[in-house]
Amino acid sequence: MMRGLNAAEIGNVIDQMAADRDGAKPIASDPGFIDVGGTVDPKGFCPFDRAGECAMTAVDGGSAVLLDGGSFLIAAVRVGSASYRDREYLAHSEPEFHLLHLSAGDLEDAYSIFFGKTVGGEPPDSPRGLDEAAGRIRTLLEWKAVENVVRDAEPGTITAFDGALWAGIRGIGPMLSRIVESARKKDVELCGISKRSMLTQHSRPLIPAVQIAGDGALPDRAWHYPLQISGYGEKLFGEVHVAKFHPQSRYVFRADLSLPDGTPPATALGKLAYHANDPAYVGYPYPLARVHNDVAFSRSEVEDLRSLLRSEALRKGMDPKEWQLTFQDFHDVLDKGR
Amino acid sequence: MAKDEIGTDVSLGRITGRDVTEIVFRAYRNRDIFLGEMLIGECAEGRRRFILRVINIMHGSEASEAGWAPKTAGAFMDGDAREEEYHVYDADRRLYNHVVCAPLGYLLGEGDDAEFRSPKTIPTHFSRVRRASDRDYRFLERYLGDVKLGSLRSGEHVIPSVPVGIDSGVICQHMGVFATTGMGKSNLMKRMAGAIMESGKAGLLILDPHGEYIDGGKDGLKGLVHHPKAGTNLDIFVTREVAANASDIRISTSEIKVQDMQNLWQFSDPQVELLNAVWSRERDGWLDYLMDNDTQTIFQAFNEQFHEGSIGVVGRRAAVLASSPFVTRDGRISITKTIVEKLHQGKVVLVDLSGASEREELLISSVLARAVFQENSRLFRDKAAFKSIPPCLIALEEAQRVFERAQGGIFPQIAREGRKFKTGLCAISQQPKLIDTEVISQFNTLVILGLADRQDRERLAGSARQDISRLDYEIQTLMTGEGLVTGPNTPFALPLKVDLYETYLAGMAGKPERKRKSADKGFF
Ligand SMILES: Nc1ncnc2c1ncn2[C@@H]1O[C@H](COP(=O)(O)OP(=O)(O)OP(=O)(O)O)[C@@H](O)[C@H]1O
Ligand SMILES: [Mg+2]
Repeated sequence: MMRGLNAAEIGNVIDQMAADRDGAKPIASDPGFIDVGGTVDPKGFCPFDRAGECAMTAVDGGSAVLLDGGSFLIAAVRVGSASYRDREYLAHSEPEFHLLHLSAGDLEDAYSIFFGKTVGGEPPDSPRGLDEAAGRIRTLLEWKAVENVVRDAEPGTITAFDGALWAGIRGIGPMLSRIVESARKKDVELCGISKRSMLTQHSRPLIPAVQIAGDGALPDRAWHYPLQISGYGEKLFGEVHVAKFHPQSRYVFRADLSLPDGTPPATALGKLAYHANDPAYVGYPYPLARVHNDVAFSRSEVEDLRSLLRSEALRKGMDPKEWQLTFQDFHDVLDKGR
Repeated sequence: MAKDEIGTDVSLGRITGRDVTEIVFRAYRNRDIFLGEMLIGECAEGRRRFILRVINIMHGSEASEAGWAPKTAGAFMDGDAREEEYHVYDADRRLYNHVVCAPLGYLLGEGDDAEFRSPKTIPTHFSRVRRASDRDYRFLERYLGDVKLGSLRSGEHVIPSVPVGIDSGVICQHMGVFATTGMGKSNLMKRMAGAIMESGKAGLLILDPHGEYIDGGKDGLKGLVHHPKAGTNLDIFVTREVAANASDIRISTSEIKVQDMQNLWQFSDPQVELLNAVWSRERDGWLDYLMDNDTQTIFQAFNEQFHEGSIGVVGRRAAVLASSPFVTRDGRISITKTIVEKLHQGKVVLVDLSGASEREELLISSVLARAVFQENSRLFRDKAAFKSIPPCLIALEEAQRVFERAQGGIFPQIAREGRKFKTGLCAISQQPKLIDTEVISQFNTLVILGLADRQDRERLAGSARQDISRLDYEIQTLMTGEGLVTGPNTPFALPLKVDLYETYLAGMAGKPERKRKSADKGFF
């Protein structure tokens, strides 16, 4: 069976699908770029050293739209973590796996269930569209996983996740405060690493500009460059850096840090650098790569899930022809949301 | 599954696919697997045990991206240049070995009842692969041969509990022992002679051009005289002074045939005609006749049919033979009869030819081989007498010298006809490529040790009883004393490690029931 999947869920989503067949609402999204202004200061780069042996846990989520029926969709979300002490993988629990049936009609209900289970209480707004709902649910589950990891972490463990340390969904601020607070208390460094960032400088992508300047200022070193960002307002829960984790790395990343009192950024970044020397992922903390691969849905997994769903639907009496007509453009959604 | 130790149930990986001629499995990257090893692919529910021989090993990784490995190696190299350390995370998951195997066959059932089948099907998906254990090898017992040469080998590992040898029942179907120089041919022959001395089930005539079999020839090496059974089961004939109880070699002119002379020199057509004419008239006295008469007399005697030049050449060559200290006109002192008798008693007869010239050596070898063959074919007509003689095996070093052509000479004749008359050949050579293909195809048992030359290997691959073409690389990489046996009764090319003769002797000396006879054996 597929990693983390509970077989009963296949039946549940098919039941939901059968229960309601409704019209779709328009989908919208607001990526929203944040411009930092100013110029990159060559004196702003700080070199740092790689830490010695240390523990790290990485959290990530993956999702895939399995079936798109227009007015509804069935998506899969999987969230997990990977822990390393020194450079050895530690046994871990199964990832969390959800099959979601999202339809325009009960979008609010579905979302508020997940919101309640993760942040707590009622959501202040609801997603605009099915895809956004799936994305938000994944984000909520990811934060929940970060919260659990921080709760169980040994002091001194650096906990990293894929993304930025900001409240990108309305109403989750309290949850992030909670997480940041508990990490600080437990002496756990919390760090978000973004592969892509919405930061710009005079409407140009910021990270490449910083990278060019940094490689000029500190060649053959690992460095970080603190950013002053005002655009997030209340939503930002850490300090933002651009960091290069390995002297030979060809990539730099945005790193959002929330650190225990008295821990300088170089200490946390040094720990990430310790884990960023796998020869295949030079400059990227390997535990993040591992957890990403663990939770991402491969094409064959998506196909397997689809066929599981189909057999279950037919077993429950759905006409194969109806199935085909409902999802006939499914080739378009292959790999969507990965 | 039990842990480690070579030859026990260690799980090595799982089969990933391919076909009936080739099986590939994914192996843990940190488990040692060697070329030539024999492994077991265990089908689900234990239905069949496939015996797999490793023929190639390659690196594999889970990375889906093409060129991942060179890129990663590049990162390592970059790190080396800057004294940067890199660490492959999850290496056991991401890296593995692809092991390519030739399926040798499969076993149905367990224990002594296990039945061997040739590989006409494939193992189940993802079958577990493990090292073979004694339990898996048990079926081999019925194929291993009673003339023990060594132990079963799996890659580099020797499996002492499974002895391997050749079958005395098929030694008359001829055998070949092939190896590049120094890879252990002579040691193997000594080991085989030892086994035959122990059993007395066959007569073995060893023609030793280098004088290395009597006492080993070199410091630290042992010879046949050191064998505990040498006192009763070994007889030695020599062409030089030796410090052992031995008889001098004498063959008589009447035992030499025109054919033998043709093997020693090139003759023109008229010269051959002359030889045949003399033979027709004088029969066994042909050589004496050539020696006793001068050119003119012969010229006249054959009505001036032959050119005097031809007569001169033939006469001079006859004189060379006749002047050899090992050739006598007196048929009564020839040792050929004695040698044949000893062989019929199931003894090992060692003929040390190191004191003879190469011509003399070939001549004596031919005469002795013919004597055995002729006597055995004569006895063939007398059923009871024939039944009472053991199979006789004639071992010949540098055999390529007499087998370049499939016709002409006593050795090719024995290769063709000997088997019916309990006369087998054991051809030893470091250059099988020089041996005629038709001759090689007469050798039903092949013992192949390390062969560096591709043409040599190809020549054998074409003639072996079992397909050894897949083993080409293994044969090339065999170490001294390691080899493969193919024969009419082997289920597949059996890998073996030949016992070092000296070790074998030491082991025998340790045996409590040994009878030491060598004390009264001359100087030894
Ligand atoms: N089975 C063996 N195990 C260990 N060592 C061996 C074995 N066979 C041979 N050797 C070693 O290799 C040496 C050479 O072996 P041997 O004389 O039998 O080779 P060969 O093939 O007959 O060589 P040549 O072509 O010179 O006649 C031996 O003296 C011995 O030290
Ligand atoms: Mg030799």
